[in-house]
Amino acid sequence: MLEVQNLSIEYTTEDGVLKAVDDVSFNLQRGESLGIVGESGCGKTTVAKALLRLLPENGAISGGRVLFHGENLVGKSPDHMRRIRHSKIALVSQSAMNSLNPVYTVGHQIREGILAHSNIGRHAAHARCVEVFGMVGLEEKRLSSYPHQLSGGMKQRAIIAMALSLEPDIIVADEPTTALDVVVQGRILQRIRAIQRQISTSMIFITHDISVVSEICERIIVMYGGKIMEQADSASFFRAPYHPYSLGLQNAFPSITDITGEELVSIPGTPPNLMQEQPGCRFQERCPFATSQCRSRTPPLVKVKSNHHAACWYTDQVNDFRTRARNRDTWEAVRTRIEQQETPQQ
Amino acid sequence: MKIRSRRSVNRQSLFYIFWSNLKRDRLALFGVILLLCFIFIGVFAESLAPHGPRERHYDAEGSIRRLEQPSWQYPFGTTDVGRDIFSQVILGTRTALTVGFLAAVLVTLVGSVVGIIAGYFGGWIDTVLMRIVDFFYAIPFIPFVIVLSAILQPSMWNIILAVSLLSWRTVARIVRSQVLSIAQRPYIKAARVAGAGHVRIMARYILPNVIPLVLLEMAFMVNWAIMAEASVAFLGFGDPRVTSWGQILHINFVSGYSRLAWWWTAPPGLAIVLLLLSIFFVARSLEAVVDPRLRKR
Amino acid sequence: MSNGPLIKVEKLTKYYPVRRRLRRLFDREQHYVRAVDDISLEVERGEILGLAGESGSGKTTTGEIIVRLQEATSGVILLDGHPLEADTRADRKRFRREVQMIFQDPYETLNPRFNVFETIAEPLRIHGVRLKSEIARRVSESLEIAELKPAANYLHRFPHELSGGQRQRVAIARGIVLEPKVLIADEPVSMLDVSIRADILNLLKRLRRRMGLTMIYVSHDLATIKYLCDRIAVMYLGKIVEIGPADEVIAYPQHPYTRVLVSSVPVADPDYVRAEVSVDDAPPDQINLPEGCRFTPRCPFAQSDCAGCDHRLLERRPKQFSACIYTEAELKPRSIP
Repeated sequence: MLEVQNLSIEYTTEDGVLKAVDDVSFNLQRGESLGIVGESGCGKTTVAKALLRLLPENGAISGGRVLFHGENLVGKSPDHMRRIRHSKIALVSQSAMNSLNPVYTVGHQIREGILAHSNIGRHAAHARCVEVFGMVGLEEKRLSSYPHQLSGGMKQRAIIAMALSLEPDIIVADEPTTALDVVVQGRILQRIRAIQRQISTSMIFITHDISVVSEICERIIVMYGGKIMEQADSASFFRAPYHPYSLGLQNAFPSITDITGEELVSIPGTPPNLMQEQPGCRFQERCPFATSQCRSRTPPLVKVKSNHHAACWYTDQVNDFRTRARNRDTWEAVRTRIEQQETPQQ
Repeated sequence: MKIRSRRSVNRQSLFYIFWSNLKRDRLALFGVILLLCFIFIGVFAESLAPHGPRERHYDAEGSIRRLEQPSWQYPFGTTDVGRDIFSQVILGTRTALTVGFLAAVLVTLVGSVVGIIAGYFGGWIDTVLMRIVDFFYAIPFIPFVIVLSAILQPSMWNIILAVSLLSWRTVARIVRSQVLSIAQRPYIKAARVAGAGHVRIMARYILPNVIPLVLLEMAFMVNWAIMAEASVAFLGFGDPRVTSWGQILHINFVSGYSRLAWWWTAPPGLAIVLLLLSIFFVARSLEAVVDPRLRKR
Repeated sequence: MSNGPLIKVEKLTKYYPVRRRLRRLFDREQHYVRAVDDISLEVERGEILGLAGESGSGKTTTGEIIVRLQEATSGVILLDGHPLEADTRADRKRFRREVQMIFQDPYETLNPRFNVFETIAEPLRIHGVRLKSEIARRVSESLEIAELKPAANYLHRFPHELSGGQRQRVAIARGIVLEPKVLIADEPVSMLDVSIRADILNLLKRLRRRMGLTMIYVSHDLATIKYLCDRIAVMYLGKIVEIGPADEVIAYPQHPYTRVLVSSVPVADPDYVRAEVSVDDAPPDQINLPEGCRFTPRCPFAQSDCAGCDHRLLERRPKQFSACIYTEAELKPRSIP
């Protein structure tokens, strides 16, 4: 249904051109939920904005295509995009809670959205509001509440209801639960998963929290430095990731189910500076297994098994990597390497 | 690593940002140059003015040079009693600048201190100080000056006093709201946890963050004070012994020749407009420095 | 130095008056938010205690009262056996040296106008260290302990020239430069990227070992609490509902609220089977509290007896106390109409 091909996005800043997203391709089937995870600055939010053509003024799609039902959205007129947004592709963003207009009731705002994008009557629109509010677990009387009368969790549900109201083909959810408390977050995630299955809409779920993806997505894309590092079925990924970055993330994550009591190991170093054009793998600076090939040539995304792709030159050595990645010293060596590289420059 | 190679933004003084802003903002540059001219004239007014402000000029036959049009000898012409308008305007520059800057300094000083104390301590201190501010907001300016000059003497210093008394309230309010937002920052909490006292926090943590705003307010206050002095002098409540633009216009108006002798009306009027405009352009550019959101425009 | 707990909190209470709204103008009663309501706890020397809870649970307020950023409405805090309230000015200054805090937001916790050296030297200067060489030595030492090595590389940088993780390390260096006994960390990793969180957590662990620090770690994130803390106190609407060894509390939660909290944490394991506990996520009303147990309106196990609950902590498992009047076995899910 959605096919992203070789998408590249650049931001023009005062200090030069920043390549936020570089050659990203993926597709999304009907009814599928896809999670895009990565650290801040990895380009995940930029991808989401580009799909809806909501990039800020200094950002531009510099290459690639976004095919929605076979139709390329790159280069479509703003007017055309406005019609597609909301009705065909809806966005639930991290800041959406503040995007509700404080002087209208929530119900009014959802109804206006429905009326503006479809040609059904007022009564039908109201009925639809009640229906979507039911789906997200809000009482009907909440339709006549003003945003300030709702708690954070309820506002977020109202936003999701609004996104659902036009039966979009795709929901793009950008960190929709980050600002919420754990209990509320848990409840909303359950709800999103249930709805998504119930009405078989597709979803792209963008988050920094890898465990959230594990909970609600069937497929996962791990991004780093503007590129896809690994793309796989969730189950396959969480049982056995292939990319060294994913292996590093596994060690860095405290879990409430952990009983081994092993010390966590973080990935030394910082994400690459995307202002500089650099050859090779984006992760090589922080990768414990990097070789000269990694430094000079960018690895393509290759198939490692069915529905599992990784962008690493050495996917054949993954078993060895997995063993070594569990060892703290492997990563400490990277730390030493980075420190040595930095010191002479000071 | 790239970031480190660049000079620190914090090390860039306000002045530096202001300066680089000037390169792009032509109007601000114009304002700065004009303001510098005015300051030069004000400082060296006595040497620049060819004649005394009250000196009467006579022609070869011994009669008063009454209402003469501009000429090489009297560039702005003469008044109805034969005084040189050019010299008066030059000397008036000093008065305008003195009143403007002194009043502005006084106002920002008092206003900032009150604002910082009210915003930082909050509670009843804040309430008391802000009610005092409200009280001063209720006093109308012109009647207040008239009463003040009736009780005291009409003098330039009293006008400065009057302007200061009535405008510190604005600065106090603006500074207070800024302090309220700064005082909640975690690094202020961190300073308190480290054991810093109130004075240290206000001086080392809050004041540096308020100074840009205070400078901006000061620029606007200069303008306001100059305008206030001109209005008061024009209404005739100014200091009769000190030449000022407002006073020139007052005498011009009272003499009844204001429509006839354009060379008498225009120069002081234009001088006021130009000075205010130059300060306004400078202040506007300062505003861009203080508020980064405006910087890109 | 006595041998009792290093920090002892007794019957601590913090009420905030609620501003009256217009329609309440004739309502004579002044309402309060009970941010912290009558809590008692002890922290042993060298122990790391986790304070867990959602926003509005009072965990941050508790932390801030212990570092004296806020005054308690009532209650006693004993540091090493000495009450904090009966302080003289000199005592207060000494106390400041002994209890330090680390804040959540690495971008806001450092004064943008101070470079790293000035930031860390500031507490020393406040406490009367004048000798330049001593300040320089102690600043470098703290930086190295906070694992910013070599210290000389960082001294002259400003906060915006540092990454989030580095800033948090500078904040930690500032916190330990006075060689405190107690460190209170309020969500120190929640705003950092996942790949570097472990570094900061490990650093805090090492600090305890190296400096004998006692810590209170305030967080909503049970996974990091489990990783870092010896014991955990779960707070709900100003009350401690459960306290006990961290691993035990998370593996065998005794209070229904702890159960809900644990079951809400997302887990990166497709094979993980969750003990689903359904709960109403309507926000708790902080002003009009229910009779008895405060969790009753949302509790899936609530019964009529819950109105008589007085939040007394009962030892349900070894060293694990719960404020629920029922034992784990007695909890039966209520049928939701």
